Amino acid sequence: MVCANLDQSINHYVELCRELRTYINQWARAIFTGQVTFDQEVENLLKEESRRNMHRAKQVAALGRAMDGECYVLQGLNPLHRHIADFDYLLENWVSPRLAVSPAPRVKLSHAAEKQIAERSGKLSPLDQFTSRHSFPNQLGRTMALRQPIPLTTVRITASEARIPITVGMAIRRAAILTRDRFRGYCNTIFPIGSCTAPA
Amino acid sequence: MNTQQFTGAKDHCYIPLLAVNPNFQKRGHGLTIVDFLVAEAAGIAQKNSNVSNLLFLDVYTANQAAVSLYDKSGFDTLNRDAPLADPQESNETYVIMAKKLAIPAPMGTRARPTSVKRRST
Repeated sequence: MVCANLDQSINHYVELCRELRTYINQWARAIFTGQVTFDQEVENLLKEESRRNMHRAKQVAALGRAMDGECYVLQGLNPLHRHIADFDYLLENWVSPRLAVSPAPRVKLSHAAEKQIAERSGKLSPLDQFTSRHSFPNQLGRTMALRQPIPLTTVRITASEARIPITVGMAIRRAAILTRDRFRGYCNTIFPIGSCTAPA
Repeated sequence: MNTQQFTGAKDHCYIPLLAVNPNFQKRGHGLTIVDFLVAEAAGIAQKNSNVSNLLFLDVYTANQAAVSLYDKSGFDTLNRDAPLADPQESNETYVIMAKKLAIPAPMGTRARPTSVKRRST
């Protein structure tokens, strides 16, 4: 009996969290697209309601965790934890919605534009995955691209050509490493153009 | 604009605003930023099945520098012949641009290059 009630409560809060989250998203989208004007009172109300809801949901989740072994499987417990984490993040990083700066989200399309966009967007072709400089294929690829090593030999050669003593050359090298670590990916702005085009 | 009609009812990534400090313009930073955003969008589209692989943006037609930048980055103008007017900016016209993202195939499913037959001697 206790388990059945608890299960029901958990499912109730899962549904409540889902509805509230959907409503907040819709409200934010409506402001962004200019359908609704931003009202501070509405925002305060939504935040307050979210906090209150979270407080109660956390209590139910804690009870659910305690009873999880007793009641075998409380199926709504994991979704409830996900919703709690989601709301915690939302409340901690809350950004007030506002009207879109750029026109596309807030301006209705004309019939001619709509027709042309539909036609052309269907014909867009993707770039080749590994031949284009435009899109690194994944997170790793992008990270690797940003971490192109600065050719330290170039710095050494420059130092020796200028007949700088070796200790000064090493100091320059160390400074280059520090600068590289700090400004990874922007070496061309720090070093003369061409000094970081090819790895050593 | 309801872009879901162009993306098969899926969500999509969108570049709302992009700016480079005037003191650092004409050095390729804009292109770097766009490339970075394209890679981010490709990652998002790859991870979420309900996100379209189309990346949208809008740009005022008068801003030729921006239009040229997006052209260089591989964006296509979708409504070239039917530009839209923005009532909030004295009816200044703008166009919508989009780019289909190259989403890599999952590991192990990529087609291997055809093997070269060895000549028997």
